[in-house]
Parts: sequence; C-alpha cells; structure tokens
Amino acid sequence: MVDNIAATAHIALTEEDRKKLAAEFDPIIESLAVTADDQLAETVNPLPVNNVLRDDVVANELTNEQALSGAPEAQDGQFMVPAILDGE
Amino acid sequence: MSLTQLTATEMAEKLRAGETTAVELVTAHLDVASEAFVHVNREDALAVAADVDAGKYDHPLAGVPVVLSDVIVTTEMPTAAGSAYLDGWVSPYEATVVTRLREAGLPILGKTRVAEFGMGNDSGAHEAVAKHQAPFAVVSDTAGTARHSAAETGVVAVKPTYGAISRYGLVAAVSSMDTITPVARTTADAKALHEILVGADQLDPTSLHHEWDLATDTGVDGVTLGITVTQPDNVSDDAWSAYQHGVRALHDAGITTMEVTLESLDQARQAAHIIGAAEFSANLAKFDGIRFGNRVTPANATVQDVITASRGAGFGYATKRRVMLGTQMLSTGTIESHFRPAQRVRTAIINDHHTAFETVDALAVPATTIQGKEYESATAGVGASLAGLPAASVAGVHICAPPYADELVYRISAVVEQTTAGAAS
Repeated sequence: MVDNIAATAHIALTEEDRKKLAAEFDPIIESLAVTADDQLAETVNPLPVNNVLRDDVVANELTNEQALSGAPEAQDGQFMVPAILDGE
Repeated sequence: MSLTQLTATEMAEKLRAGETTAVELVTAHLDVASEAFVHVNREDALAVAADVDAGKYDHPLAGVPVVLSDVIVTTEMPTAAGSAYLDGWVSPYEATVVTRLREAGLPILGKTRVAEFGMGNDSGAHEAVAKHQAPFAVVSDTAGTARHSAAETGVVAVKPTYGAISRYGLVAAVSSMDTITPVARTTADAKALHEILVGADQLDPTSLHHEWDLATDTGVDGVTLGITVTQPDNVSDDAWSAYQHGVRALHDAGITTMEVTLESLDQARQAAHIIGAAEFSANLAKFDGIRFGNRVTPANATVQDVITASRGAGFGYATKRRVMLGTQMLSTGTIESHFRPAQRVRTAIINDHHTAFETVDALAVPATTIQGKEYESATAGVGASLAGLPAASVAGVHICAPPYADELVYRISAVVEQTTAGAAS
C-alpha cells in the first residue's frame, strides 16, 4: 500500500520512511474521516473567483537563460534528462 | 533606547524627524541577527538604506527594515522554503510583495527560517520580530500556522482576506488557503506593512480587485462580537485566561458580546488536513529534479528514476507523508470517501460563518490551541483559513470577520493589544 502510493507520488522512500509510514498512514486517513451533507456544494475556492482577462500581449516572460538558471543540468538551451531512447 | 526597541511606526517617525538614519536602523538590526535568519542580506539592505537617506524614496515607511519568510521568492537571495530540495536555488523571478517592498524603499534584512514548504509552526520570522531583530516580517499563513506562532511568540499576525495580497512568488503549499501575512509587534505596524502589500496583481489570478481602505480608526464602540464562553478542551488554562482578559478589554471599549458556536468547525481539522494534503501534493508535482532544485541521478537512471530519487532525497519526512496523503486523497475511492466530503464540510464552514455574521460583526476565540500530533491538531484559525476570512492573532485572542472586513479586524486587534503587554517588548 505505502509503496504503491509512493510510486504514484514519485517519491523514493528510505527504509525508515517506509516503516514509519506503514505504521502511520492508514490511522491518519481513518482519523480524518468526515461526514457531510450531500446536498451541499463542494467548495474549491473560499471566495467567488471571476475570470480576469488581460490584453493578449506578451508580458513578464522569462528568457531562455533565466528559465534554465535553476536547472540541475542543461545543454544547448534545453533541460537535460537521461536518454529516453538508446544512444539518443 | 536602542533603535531595535522601537516599533516600525516609531522608526519611521524618527527617520522623518531626522533623529536617525535608515543606515543606522539597518545596522542596528543586522548587528543582532540570529539563527532565525537563513540568509542575511547585508550589502543590499545597506545600499537601499543609503538610497533612502539620500532622499530617493518618499514612502512613509521607506528605510524601515523588514524580513521575509524563506517561502517568498527573491532574485538576489536564495529561496529554500526550508527544503533540501531547493537548497541553494535562486528564483529567476521576484514575488510581487518583494517588488512592492522594494518600490517603497524598505530595506530587506534577509530571509528567515521556515518549516519545510511553510507547513508547520516553526518560524524564524516570528522569532526575529519577537526578539527585535526586525520590526516586522512578511510570512505565509496556510491553515492558521502564522497566527498560532504569533500567539506562541507574543507578536501580532494579521491574515488578510484570501486574495487581498498577491501570492505571486509565494512557494505554493495549499493554494486555496495560502495567504501572505504581515507579522509585527504591534497592530499598527502590521497594518502599515499590510497597506504596502495589499492590492490587485495581474500576476496572481486569485488576486482580488477591491478598493481597500484600512485607514479609518473609529474604535470599536457598537461592534458586536461572537465569543466562546466555555473553555474548549484543546485550550490550556493560561490560554483561556489570556483570551478572557482580551474579551474583558473589548467589553470595556464598548463592544457587545454574545455566545456563538459554529458546529461545522468540529470537522475543520479533518477538512483542512484533507484539502491541504491534496492541494499540497498537486503543488509539489513541479519539483521533478529536471527544471530546478537538486537532482539525484541513480546509476542507469530513467527520467522517472531521476524524478523519484530527487524528490525522495530532497523532501523531509513530513513533506513525503503529506504528498503521499494528498495523493491518496485524490485517488479512486478516497476521493469520494474523504476529499469530496471535506469540500462539502468546507462549504458548511463558510455558510456557518456567513450566518453568524448576520448577527455579529466578528468572532473571537482563544488564539492558542494545544498542538499534539500533527494530524490530530488544528490551529484556532483553521476555520478562517478554510473560509478565506481576514483574521488576527493578538495577545491570546483570535479574531475573524467577514471577507473584505480586514479594517475591522485591525480595529478590534488594536483594542485587544492595549490590554496586555500584548506585543513582545
């Protein structure tokens, strides 16, 4: 169960994480049970949100260099990732 | 009297009177900076202060120094948000609140310690303000943590109406509850900082377009306040005593009180943890070890392996647990048993507040609740976070009011603080 959720969440666990989560995870979820009136609407945002439109002009953009400035690895103006295809 | 003992408002007055300089103010605070800071911005703060002293700014608070919680992104300082994942990262863009502080000429002393991604009560900003290492601070408040920490450290935190202050550049944790929040030693200082930060921002789609007027100061005579009359189980005797002291002061100032109990708040803890974890897991999906932050590349790794290893190495245990809980909450089965009912509980909480506000102008509860295990605990202000209400924690009293009534919250807060040593001194 914990390993499945960790895989879905893309999080590697240490052995210690796994032990603690195995003990804590289900009891936390059980402790968070709520009962609600089915007639009520679901709130996604606390205040009414209206669409706000702005002029269709480019603004507040990052340069390529800025966008890559925090990347752990970059090459030729692009983010570097491990090869997806053999030899590529 | 040491310059650091002054309130921000007094510092501004002395500056205008020519009795001190911005450089002196910045230096006095930098000299006492402690481990509450994770980054000290000495050169830049002194440069801004020198510009203030040279007359380059005309804002009334220009030259009064401020600190930022390290969940607010800056281009000239790193932002780690308390996480090893972001350690050393420098944002390519700047938070709107930082831009507004810079434009007003407030020297930024540095960034302060924060629980990972702001999810917890540990806050160097509160510590720095309480210990006179800064007169005020800009922090984030998600489910009442900034207000709880204010009560613990004896300072004032005032969460605005949701959307009143731009969240652009705040490292997002729980987007429907995250709120930029001023922290200060006095209500007047929190309000002065709030006035610099507040206002619509095209870069934040949840930003409110509203004409804010926090300037009126008509007292609280005639205001009706809903109060708690029975000590709740999760409130200590000391916290209850402080609360009653504040309520008596409000009585003396002309406030009418009546008992108000919102039954829906019985499930606020669960709703906030469920919704909080779900939104947190979605917000943290962007931390992939590819675009920014710290990467871990296992041998013969695929892209997926890099993402999983980087998140595993970069996130602390509480963050991993929250992301996984949120992932679970949004999964088949649990989304129906927990997440959607929690969103309906949130509606009930909003409705209950609005009904109460037909009878009373504001609500006051004890500001400090006993904090046990994380998921078994809630702050006094969690209801205001779920409902997007303006709220203050001051001298042991938590105040909330209807959306847009931020000015009323400040008026009530100002009365409460007069009754006690109130603010840390």
